[in-house]
Amino acid sequence: MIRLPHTRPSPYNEDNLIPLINIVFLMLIFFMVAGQIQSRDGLAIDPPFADNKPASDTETRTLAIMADGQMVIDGKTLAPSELKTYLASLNKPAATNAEPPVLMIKADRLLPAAKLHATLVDVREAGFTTIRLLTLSGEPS
Amino acid sequence: MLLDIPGASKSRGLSLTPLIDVVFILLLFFMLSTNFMQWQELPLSATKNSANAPETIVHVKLLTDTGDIEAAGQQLNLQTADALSGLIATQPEDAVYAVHVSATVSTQTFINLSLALERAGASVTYLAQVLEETP
Repeated sequence: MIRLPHTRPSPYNEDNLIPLINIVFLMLIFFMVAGQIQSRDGLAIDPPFADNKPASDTETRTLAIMADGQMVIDGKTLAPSELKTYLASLNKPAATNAEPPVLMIKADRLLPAAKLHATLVDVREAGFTTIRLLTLSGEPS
Repeated sequence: MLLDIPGASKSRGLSLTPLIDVVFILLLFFMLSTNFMQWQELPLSATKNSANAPETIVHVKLLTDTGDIEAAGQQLNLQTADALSGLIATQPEDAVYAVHVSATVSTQTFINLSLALERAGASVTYLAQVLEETP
C-alpha cells in the first residue's frame, strides 16, 4: 500500500490576513465618514485661496474657467462669445417669489482678472444676479 | 491505494477571500471618489449692486500682480501690513470700493485685494473695470 503524502490545508491558514482586513476596514470607514463624494469635472483648475464663508450645499450651476480662459458649464466647452447666450437660455423667467438664480464660478487662480471681469459682465447680462467664486481655504503653496 | 482526502463533512470555516475582494473594491471606490477639499465661496460683482442712495465710490487701481495699488492719490502695496487701513479710515463708512485691474493681474491677486479691503473695514467691493494698458 502506497500512502501519498498530502499536506492538509489548515482551517486557520487565513488567520494572518486578519490584521490586514482590520486595517482595510479602518481605511474604508475613514473614507466613508470623512470624505465627500463629488462629481469630478475633469478640468485642471487650480482654484484661488481665500478664507471666507464655507460653500453652501445647495445645488447650483458651476461655471469652470481655466487659466487660459476656456470655459466649461454642464460638461460643455463654450467660447467666450457663446457664454451669454447659453446662460440666458438657462435663466428662464421664474415665479416672482422664486429665489434669484445663483451661479458659482470655479476659476483658476492664474486666470487674468480682466477675463474674469468680462465673464462677470456676461453672466450679469444673462440675468444671474448672485455670483459666487469658489475658493479654497488656506494659503497658496 | 489509500488517498488521504479530507472528508467533505469537515468544515473549513468561512473563507475570507471574497470578503477581502469586496472590501478592497469598496476601499478603492471611496479612495478615488472622495474629495477632501473644503470649498468656500466669495460673492462677486462686476457692477455695484445698490441702485439707491448716493454713495462715495473709491476707485482702487490694482496695477501689478505683486500687489501695487493706487487709491485716493496714494501708492500702496498689498504686501505691506495694514496698507489699506489708513485708506479706509479716511473714507466714509458706506463708501463703495471699485477695483480697477490691470490686464496683467491674476484672479488670486484681485481676491487678495478684495479680502484685504474687507478686513480693513470696506463694506462693498466690486470688480469695476479693466485698466487700459499705457504704452
